[in-house]
Amino acid sequence: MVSLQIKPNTYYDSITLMIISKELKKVPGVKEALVGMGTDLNLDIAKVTGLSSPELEAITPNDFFVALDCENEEAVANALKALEEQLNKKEESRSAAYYPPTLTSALKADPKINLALISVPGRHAYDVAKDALDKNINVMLFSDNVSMEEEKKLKEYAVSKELLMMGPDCGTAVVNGLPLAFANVIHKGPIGICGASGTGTQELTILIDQLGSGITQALGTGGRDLKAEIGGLMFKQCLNALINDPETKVIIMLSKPPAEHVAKEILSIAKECNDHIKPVVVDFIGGDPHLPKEYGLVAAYNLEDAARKAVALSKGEPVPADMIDIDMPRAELEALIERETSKMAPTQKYYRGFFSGGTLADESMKLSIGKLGHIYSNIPLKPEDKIENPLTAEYKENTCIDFGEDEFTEGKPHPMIDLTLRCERILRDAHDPTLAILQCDCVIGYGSNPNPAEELAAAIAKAKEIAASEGRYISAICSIVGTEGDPQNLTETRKQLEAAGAIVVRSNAQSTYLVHHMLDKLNGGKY
Amino acid sequence: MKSTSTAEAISAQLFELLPQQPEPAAVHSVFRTSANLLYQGQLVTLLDDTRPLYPCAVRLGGPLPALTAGEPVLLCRERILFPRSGAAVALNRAQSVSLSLFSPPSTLQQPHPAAAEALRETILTRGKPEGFAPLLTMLEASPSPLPDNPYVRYAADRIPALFAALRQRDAEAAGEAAYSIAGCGIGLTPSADDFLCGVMASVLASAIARGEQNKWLPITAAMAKRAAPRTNLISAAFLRQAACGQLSSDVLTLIRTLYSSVLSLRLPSAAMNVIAFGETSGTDILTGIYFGQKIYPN
Repeated sequence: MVSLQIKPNTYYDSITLMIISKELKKVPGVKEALVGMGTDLNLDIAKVTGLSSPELEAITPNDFFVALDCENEEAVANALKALEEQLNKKEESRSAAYYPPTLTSALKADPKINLALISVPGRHAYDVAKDALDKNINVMLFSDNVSMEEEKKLKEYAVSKELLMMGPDCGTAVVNGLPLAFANVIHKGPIGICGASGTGTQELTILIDQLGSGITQALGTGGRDLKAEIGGLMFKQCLNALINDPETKVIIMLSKPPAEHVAKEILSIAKECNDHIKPVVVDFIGGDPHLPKEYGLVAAYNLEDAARKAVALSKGEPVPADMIDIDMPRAELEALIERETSKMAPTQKYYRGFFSGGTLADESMKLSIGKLGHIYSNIPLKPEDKIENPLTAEYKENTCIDFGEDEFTEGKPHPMIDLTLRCERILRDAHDPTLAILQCDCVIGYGSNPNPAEELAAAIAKAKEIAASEGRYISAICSIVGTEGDPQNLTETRKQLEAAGAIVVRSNAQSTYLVHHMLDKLNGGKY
Repeated sequence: MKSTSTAEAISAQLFELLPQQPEPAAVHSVFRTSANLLYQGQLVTLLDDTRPLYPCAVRLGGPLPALTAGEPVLLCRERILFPRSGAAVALNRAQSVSLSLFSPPSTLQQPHPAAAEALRETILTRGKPEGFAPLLTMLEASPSPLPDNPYVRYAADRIPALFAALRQRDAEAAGEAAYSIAGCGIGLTPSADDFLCGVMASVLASAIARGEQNKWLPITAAMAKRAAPRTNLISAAFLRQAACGQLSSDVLTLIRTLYSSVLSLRLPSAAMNVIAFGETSGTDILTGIYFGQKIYPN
């Protein structure tokens, strides 16, 4: 028997309608239940489904209706009772997956939220971050273009409330196993990282993972935290958090060389920790390693060196020897160099480092100090090596480019996401008769391109083809920032690059050392 | 008790519509997180702070005031006043937000070749299949079909005519095809209407990416003109808005993520933000977007 319920000019939200429909169909004896607004087509369907009733003719699209086909009157009565129950039910009891558009509504949905990842235009970032801190929520501020004054205010406020204020321009963190922004899938383990460098932190974490260990937390501070103006406010906060974290057995401090008085402060804290609580490894990328040693700390010469030393310390093993050269048996290395350089023309004497990670470009250049002479760059170590207009300039001799700098990213995604400009440049420079070696990073993980190796490998293969057609051979050396657990997968990424003829080494440092060896050979032992 | 809520955002379209001096309106319908006001035949939507902004809507910084359908309203650019309760919504601090596909920065590009499949995967694995999502398996060969329902079965026979009309850029036929399915489906906004909104949004986005919008606006206008009278006032408003590229902020974000030469890892989360809304509405819109960008004539 058919029963029709109509509520003229009455509106229920879709969730309510769907729940009513499902609940009515569960009532014993209900064969069919149609619930909806009285549009012509819905009424047609009601008729086709055998729910025709004279009252249907009077319904308008703005009326709510329920049409029931039941086995008997008892079923009709039970269904109508269920209908009333649902209509009178408290709205809050009807749950639905929900993505809150504001922090306030997110807190309403889950009052236990204690970390906000904020990515809004820089001019709004201060207000949004302050709002989160007001609500006692730790902040990871991905946004850039925040003034130094605002950064300091936010950090002072966070410190006063014992909260984290990571950033601005903080691109990488792993908190309680959760990768945030550009980050990789890293095993849990005993090492905690306090880093003022995004890709540096990524490289460290993946190397620790590849060495069979893992991390507790990787906390970012934003690149300006250790400048004199900010005074390492957040670095100290993060460092203290790791010192007090019982799961963290070894700490790595990572940054570019800090302002002098800031370095003294954080090294003093680290010394206390190292002497009495847990070991601390320090990598001031390109900084003087003797400084941390003066404080009794373990100094690292590069990111891989830091990872190796921290992993050894976490296992209670002796600190390994400094890693200051490529980790490859001599005979194998010489054979590799011979294989690659013997195919090159006499004009080929230089390398081009094309990076998506700024810290990796910086580390590579700093590891080359005193070895390669001038390295021209958009982020040069010396002012005279600055490349103006890197988008259009002809690159010369040894050149290292950070494609993540503003001139490449204005109006475009970061090169970890969009490889177009870097690949175009590889193809353009392939015509340069002096170019011998291409050095590239390939960053995978969350936030990055779904398959960066595909485009990079295609560009490398094409560059080799161009060179071959002009009677030359280009060697490509790559390192991958990634793990087996990343969505793009380390092994799959490596296979694609190797299939294009690239040499893939473990780390940025090893890639750089291999460049040194090959250039040395090409330049008759000059380096 | 008198209380004043503060609006934090207002769609640019609504801001233009509101009068300088207070004019009468009425509460049309009230829901948990939104309410509609009827002003000069148009619906003006109030949203609480849990909702993304909609075209012709205001989003408050907190919950909605207590409202009753039919109660009188006075509205102008400064505030919305409910004389019966004394409650008010202050609009003077609300940020005006354009929700138009045509608003700069218009960086829409042809979607990455793999984007359609990524979107389809998200709908199939994360969507709510009780509406029109089964079209994905009914209209395209699929080894594991989604369970269908009477509404989608009814519409599935008619939708190929819509696609054919769009491929031929035949405005009249597209209007008739939209008419043939409008108002079909469960939900306050029936599934077919959400689906049509998605189709219109994505054909307009494709058109913008190719500089062909002037050819397509008459087609979507014809679709909305024929479809709107077949459904309820609320759904009709969405159809008319989508036909001229006015979309809710979550759908707009998805379209901008989808219509990019890069396959963004944010695509699934942008799609999930759309799916999360309503019961099947979000999934039905996504299904429309999926088909809309696929059938756009090359």
